[in-house]
Amino acid sequence: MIKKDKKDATSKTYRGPWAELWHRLKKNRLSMLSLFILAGFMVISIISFIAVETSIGQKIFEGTVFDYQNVVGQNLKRTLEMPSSDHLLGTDSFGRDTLARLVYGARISITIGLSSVFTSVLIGGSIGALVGYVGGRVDNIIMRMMDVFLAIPSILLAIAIVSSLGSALPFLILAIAIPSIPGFARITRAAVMTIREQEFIEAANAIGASNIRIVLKHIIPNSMAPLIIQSTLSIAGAILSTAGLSFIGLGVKPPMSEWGNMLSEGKNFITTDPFFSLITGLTIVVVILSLNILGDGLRDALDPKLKN
Amino acid sequence: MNDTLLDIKDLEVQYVVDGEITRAVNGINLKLKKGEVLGLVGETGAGKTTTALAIMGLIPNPPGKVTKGNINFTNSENMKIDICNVNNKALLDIRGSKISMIFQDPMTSLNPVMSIGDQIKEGVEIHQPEVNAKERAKEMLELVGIPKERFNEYPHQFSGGMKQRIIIAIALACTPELLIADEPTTALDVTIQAQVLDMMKDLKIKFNTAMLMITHDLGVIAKTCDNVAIMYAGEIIEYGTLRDVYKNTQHPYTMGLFNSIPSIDKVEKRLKPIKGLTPDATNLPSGCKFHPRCEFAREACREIAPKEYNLNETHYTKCLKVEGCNEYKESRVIDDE
Repeated sequence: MIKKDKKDATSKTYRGPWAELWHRLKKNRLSMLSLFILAGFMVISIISFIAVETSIGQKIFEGTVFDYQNVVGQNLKRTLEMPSSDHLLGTDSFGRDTLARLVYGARISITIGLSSVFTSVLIGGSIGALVGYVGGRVDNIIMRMMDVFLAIPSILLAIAIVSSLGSALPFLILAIAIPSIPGFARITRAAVMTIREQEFIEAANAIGASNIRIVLKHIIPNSMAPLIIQSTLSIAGAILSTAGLSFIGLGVKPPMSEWGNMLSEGKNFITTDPFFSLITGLTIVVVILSLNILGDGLRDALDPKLKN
Repeated sequence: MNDTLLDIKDLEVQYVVDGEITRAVNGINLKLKKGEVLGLVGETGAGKTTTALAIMGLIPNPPGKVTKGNINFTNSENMKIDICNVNNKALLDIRGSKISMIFQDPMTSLNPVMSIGDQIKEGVEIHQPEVNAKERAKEMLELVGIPKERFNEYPHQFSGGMKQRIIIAIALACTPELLIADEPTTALDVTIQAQVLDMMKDLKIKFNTAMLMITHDLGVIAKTCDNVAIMYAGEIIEYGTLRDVYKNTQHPYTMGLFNSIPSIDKVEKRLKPIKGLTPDATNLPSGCKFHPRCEFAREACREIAPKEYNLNETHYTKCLKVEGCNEYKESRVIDDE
């Protein structure tokens, strides 16, 4: 029997793959800043949800920027004001508080951004994993269908879906999710096909693991990295698409606020009162930039070649 | 009571790629008793790994197919199964619990994102749900000489030799009756090789596991095996006990193998390698498949495929010269064309 080599057993700290990812991401300050900003927006959205949708929340947040009355309540005496103590970011052309409208808009954007990406990861990922593992004719047929989707410009596809189904929230989510499904399917398929040929899959076969078990426990965890990166980058795209749809009047309808329809409103007086458009545009830029930086940071953290 | 564990009869495996047939295994017969260690030796491409995969029922299909023969596996509960003709469900039950396999490269045979403990546990969870898998996994770790505190670590935190020991732990976690080791030491350096082989030997005795040791290293065979089968172009051309094959080598190919390794007590200026290359499995030579490379080849070798010729009860070979048949004696030596 071999002597036990205990020498490094106790001194070494070991982490699981997630802890390891977090540890490496922490070293990247810009990514952490982005994460912080995004977390801030998340918190604001959640509070906004509580303040608008629950009766207790309505009482607690009455009169604050989270109050729905501030989002839609017009005051035509005080239109297009610059920042002041009662309107921290000024007002729009109907005299509504810009901050309140941005906060409410954050909630819409983040809800749509997250849930549409979640939907497309789920659908696209499953399709990709399936065809990547099964291969052969199934792969060919399904991937050609995906190619057809890829041939249609995503914003056109989204416009077509929204104009035929209507612009209720679930349809908006669907409209933004569907065009990005083929992308996720391709990425997952490529990852799965590489992993499938690895020897440890054969080894898993050799201990009698069933196909479902192999896909769920061995293949999917190993093909997560590209999916995670693509998701963060896709959320940014989804938020932009939402804003784009609202900008052209197909997304969230006034008087509800959304960043896209706020920008659309602002363009009418951009030459005389640019502040309103500027602050709205900046909010979008900050969120999108943070998401992209976080995505980059995650890619670096997940890249085994850049270890340590 | 029959103590045969594995009985391979006339097994043929072919791969069909783009209409071209690759004849990887061409009618091999093998018997393996309980607790026996059989060495399967041969050059790259001789069909060793294909044979192993066939026993596991893991020939990738397509392109591979078992075209003939059967593999009878009889376990201790006297359950008889022909691995070539059972459904997938039964195969899943056998793999890992009755027959296990160790793969060649320890670096790639472990899932990089799963802790090694979980990987050892997996087989036990699948096949023996009544057992406390975590405890068993820890036991196995200790058994292969890795402290059980490292249960939650990941493959990249281990060296190559340790990884191979972990793979052995995975393979033996369900105490299989047959362990197929496909070149278990090829990827390791020599000192680690010796460690791993010693350990496998110990564990083999402890669990009374039969073993099929696939390698191209004659030294490894000499160290571990009871019986040896020499494979060439998908056929077993010489079979016997370790003593038969090593001390009373008959087949010219086997002799060639021994001549290509340096001997410690002979002074030799040059080794004598076997001339030529392994034949292309899509286009095997007629007659004796070794004749184009054989120094004793005569014209009869081109036409007649040699049959198994028994030298004694345990030792057989497939060679016309050894057989000493008339056709061989009467035919001319092949001139170089």
